[in-house]
Amino acid sequence: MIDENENNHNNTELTVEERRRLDALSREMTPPPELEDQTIQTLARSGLLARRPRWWVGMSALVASVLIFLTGFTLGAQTDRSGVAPSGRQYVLFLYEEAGFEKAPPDDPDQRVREYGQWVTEIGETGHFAGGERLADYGWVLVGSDDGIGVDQRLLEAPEGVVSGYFLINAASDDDALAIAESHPHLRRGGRIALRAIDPIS
Amino acid sequence: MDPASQDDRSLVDAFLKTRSERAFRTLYRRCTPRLYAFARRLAGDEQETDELVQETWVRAVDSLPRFRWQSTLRTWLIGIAINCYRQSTRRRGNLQLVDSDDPLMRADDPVLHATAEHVDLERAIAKLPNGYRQVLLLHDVEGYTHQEIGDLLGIDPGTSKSQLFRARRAMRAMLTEPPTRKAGGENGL
Repeated sequence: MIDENENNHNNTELTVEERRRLDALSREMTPPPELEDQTIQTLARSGLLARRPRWWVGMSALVASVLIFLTGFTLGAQTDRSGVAPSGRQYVLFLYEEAGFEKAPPDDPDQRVREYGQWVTEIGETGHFAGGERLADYGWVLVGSDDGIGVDQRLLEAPEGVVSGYFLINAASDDDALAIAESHPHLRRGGRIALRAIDPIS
Repeated sequence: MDPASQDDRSLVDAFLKTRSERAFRTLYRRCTPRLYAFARRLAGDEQETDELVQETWVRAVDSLPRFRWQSTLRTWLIGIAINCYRQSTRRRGNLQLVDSDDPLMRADDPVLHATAEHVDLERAIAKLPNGYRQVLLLHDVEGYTHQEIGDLLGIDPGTSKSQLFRARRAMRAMLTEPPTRKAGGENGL
């Protein structure tokens, strides 16, 4: 007598029920939203993607032209301190992205680019913009100790958040610099900004 | 060429012309849901799946200029994913999947939110040995023939058939075995 269980186990064909359950499995799954940006950053680092101009330069050629003009005008007015308005000093804004930071929506990936580019245009018109860069999403933390130098690649897990970029601004005073920093759209998206005055060694 | 493949080709051509981020995002959004589902079942672990999908796209974008459309784009991407997965398992010493009861799985994990029946099946598939799981996914889930599976995995169609038989038997055994009790009673004490 054929043991039914043994027969079923040795049957090479799927049963109707097995076929039904397999057919019911979803063939598509929504990937985590952040995977798209991470993949793009990986591709860009590998040189496989033609990246757009730096996001704070703005979206259009017109904006880029205005900024180039304004930057040249500002540099042309400098004294012995490169890029600094005569009556003020330079400050740096470090932009932090913590867990709650609101990234650009998938259907409008350039939203932050436009926002930050607009801010650059506005402060550039008043001579306050001095430069900036976006930072890659990877890095290292190096710590020196009696045991030597430790290199930690868990930069993105820092509890204070990740520095995603920085701006250099010219300002007449600390209050002026604070006002400029407070106007940055990064703060409206749940980001954090550390503002520091530059204290030139010279 | 069927309309879906024509759409894929148009998107690929548009991307290769500019290599723009925007063109890539369009291609990514079209292809990744299907790729992600396959990778998720192949890798089992969420973090590994993300890494697998990223690595697949990096290799795919690098090789896209040489892709001759002798298969569909989806098949080609799956083939790359399989190769990436095999290399990563070799690097890790061929470790088995993370236990699908892993508490680190996301609360919104698509596997967990399926019906209990689907979860049982997903877990059974996840527990299969790598070789069995690949053949079963490719044949019974993705619908490839043994000839196509042979091309994807670099094995004979006959080997694919025998692996599939063993995979089904193993899956069947897991689906019909009674749930195990925790040792020591309800609180595990």
